Amino acid sequence: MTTEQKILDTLRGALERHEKRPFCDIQSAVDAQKDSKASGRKTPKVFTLRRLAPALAACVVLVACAGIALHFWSRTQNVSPAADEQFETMMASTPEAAQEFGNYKDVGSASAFAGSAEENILVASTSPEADTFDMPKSEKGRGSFISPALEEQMRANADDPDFLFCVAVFPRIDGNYVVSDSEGNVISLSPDEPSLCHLTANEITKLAEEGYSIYLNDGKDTE
Amino acid sequence: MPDILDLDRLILKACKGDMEALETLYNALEGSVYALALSIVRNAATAQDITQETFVKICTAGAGFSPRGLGKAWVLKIARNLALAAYKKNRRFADIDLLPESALSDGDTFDDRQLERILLKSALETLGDNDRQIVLLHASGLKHDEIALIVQRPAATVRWKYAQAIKKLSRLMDERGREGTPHDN
Repeated sequence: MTTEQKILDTLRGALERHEKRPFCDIQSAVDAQKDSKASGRKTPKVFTLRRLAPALAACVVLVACAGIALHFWSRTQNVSPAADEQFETMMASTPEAAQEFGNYKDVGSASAFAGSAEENILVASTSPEADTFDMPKSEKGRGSFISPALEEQMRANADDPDFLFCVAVFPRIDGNYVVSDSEGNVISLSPDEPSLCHLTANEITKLAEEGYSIYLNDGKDTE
Repeated sequence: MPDILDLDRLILKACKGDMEALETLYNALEGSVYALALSIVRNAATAQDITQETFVKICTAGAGFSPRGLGKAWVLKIARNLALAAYKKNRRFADIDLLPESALSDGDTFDDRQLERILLKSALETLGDNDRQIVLLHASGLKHDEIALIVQRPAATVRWKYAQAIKKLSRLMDERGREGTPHDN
């Protein structure tokens, strides 16, 4: 007898010995099915915890996602008038008072300003020429530095008492720049979107938390 | 076993609710349906449930059958679909009970044939799903052409896969047989 024959015989034997259900079982199942169809009854569903588990899990995930979305939305919306006022106060006050807002430096004199070509800072002038500065788009955003043209202008005007430097420059998350001068006036380098001038204390804190350097100058050194 | 035209006629009658025809059909095809279900779900009890469900379905939802001499393949396709659905639902049963002990044992005595069956059971579990299906279906009495219709592969492929699977089973059984035989020192 070949091995194949042996294998087939063994398998056949095993299959033949399986427990064959009597035909009356099949007949009963057919009758039950027909009765159920005729009466229009549907098989009752049992809502056990196991059946409900996927739906419950989906609900939990949905609630969690909604919670996270709401949290982030509320963070962007939560700009209270009090925070705006706080910001204005901070800008008009000394650097010591503004230290409450975290990661910032007193840049000191205008020349020091001009020399501090660090990352994450953009320095602009509030002089009438400010709008003429052509800031390349590639320099916007995190990691910006003093543009060569601006730096040159700053160095040239370092001793000019009429030349006012801005004291704080923040690259906003949306890529636009918002600046404030030594008088606490908020100005924008994005003239098309003047509304972006309103940078709140909350936003400053957030930017500081995100690692942006915040430079402040009360303007005394430029006088 | 009724011939193919008789099978078609039996199915048509069973579809119309003829219980005698269904019984004849059950006696003729139960083995193949069970083997097919077993090869997919790998659990004897579930395979029995699927066998029963297949014949209930023929009787209650068989209006779609048209006699073209393919009655046997039609029945086995119903069984295959039910088995695949059950397998997807209850994967945890897989590999537990391919051939139950009751099918392996002749009685109380443990002889060479019983050892052969146990070796074959473990060798079968090493085959891929398709190969095991083909071997079990052939063992249940189906021809390669009929198996090809069920597994939706060309008949030549089925023949080749069958030959490869048998070769693998023989080799594994020889190896495991040698490992299990006590050595005289």
